[in-house]
Amino acid sequence: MFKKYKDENVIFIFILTICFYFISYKETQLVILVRKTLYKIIYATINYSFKKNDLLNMHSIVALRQENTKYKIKNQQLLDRLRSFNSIYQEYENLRTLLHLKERHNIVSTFAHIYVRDCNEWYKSIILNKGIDHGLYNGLPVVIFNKQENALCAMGKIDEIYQTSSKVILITKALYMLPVMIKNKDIHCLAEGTNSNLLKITYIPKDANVKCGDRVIVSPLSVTFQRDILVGIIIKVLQAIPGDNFKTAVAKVCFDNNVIYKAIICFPLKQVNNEKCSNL
Amino acid sequence: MRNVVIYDYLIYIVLCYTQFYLGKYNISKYLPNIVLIMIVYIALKKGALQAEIIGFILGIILDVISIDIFGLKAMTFTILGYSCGKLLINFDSENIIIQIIAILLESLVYYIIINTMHFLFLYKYKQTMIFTLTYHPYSMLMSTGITIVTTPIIFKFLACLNKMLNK
Repeated sequence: MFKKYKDENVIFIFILTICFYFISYKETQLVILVRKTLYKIIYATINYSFKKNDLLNMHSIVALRQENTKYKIKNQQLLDRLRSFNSIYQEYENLRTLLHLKERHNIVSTFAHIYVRDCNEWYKSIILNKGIDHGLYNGLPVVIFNKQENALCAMGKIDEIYQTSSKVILITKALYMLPVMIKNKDIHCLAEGTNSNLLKITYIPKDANVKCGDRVIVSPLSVTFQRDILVGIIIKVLQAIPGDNFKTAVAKVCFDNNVIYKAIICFPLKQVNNEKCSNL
Repeated sequence: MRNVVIYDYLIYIVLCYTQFYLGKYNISKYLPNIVLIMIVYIALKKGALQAEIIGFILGIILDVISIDIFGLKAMTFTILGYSCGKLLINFDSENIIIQIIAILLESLVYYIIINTMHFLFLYKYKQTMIFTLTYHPYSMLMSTGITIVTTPIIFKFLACLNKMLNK
């Protein structure tokens, strides 16, 4: 009786030791060899037992499971990489905020020469030398680079499109309205064209701190232009009419500071990608 | 007598394969742990020595054909066979309540060992603690419930087979 119990305990400890060895040193040559040998024996028995039954294809099941393991490891690695990517992106965002860097917009641009600028429509429209053949379409924003301000300035949008040319309506045209905001002040208002090089900035709150020299930029509410593109510089602030909650200001457009030769047409990046795909 | 023992072992191995195939062909999301029931049966009928040896053999078979840690199931079933054999050898194995209590206890020990070892040895389990804490209890309860329900049937089946072999 005593001997039997002794055997039980000895065998139990022996088996446990073997199992612990297998678990702890699972990557060693010996354990891998044991596993492979056992696998071959078990596979042979099962294959012999269920030889006629195609459903019980042991080998394919085990192969699938091994493949699954590999993919799980790969998945884990990709998850780790994604996690590190997210942390890098977060760090980048933090640094960008600290350095007050501008956000990069997902747009690509193309240059176009100005064909015609009619004297009668000097502040109303211009005609560019690019059209449908160059991938342009109605509604695209047109900007110009202002050397003095070292920034892109809003100029207008494509209103009529032809095969090799396009007509651009300028933001200075009467009845053209553009949602704008005062730079660094978070004051949203509206810029109206006046058929001159001046813009009428309306709907400025009565108590808003707007001064001469403030920059007017495109508001995020604009559907045509990207946000933060320079529009003009305030040159005069008019006092509000008694009883009115808003005051107006006058701003000089930035695109008229130099002679215009070339304009820049901005494409949304997605649109360009789609066109490339369709061309392919 | 030797033939009886060999057939006995073969039956256990075939049942072990059955559990593997049940899992592979998605018969149900939650399946009974046939190997656990067999080990409890052997422990109750034949004692700790037989149970721990059979537990080790069946465990190592399951380890080889699975992607789990090699040696984990062998170790778990050995411990279960030994503990069940030591604790419940004097109880009546025909009593269904005893069978259910034994299966409940052994299931509890089984899940404790498996989860602890996964936590210690598998990196991914450390990453998905929330998954382990939220999903596993429900899964464990369901599997244990199904194992308990099937226990009397498998016990009867094994008892019948034993009788047939002894004749």
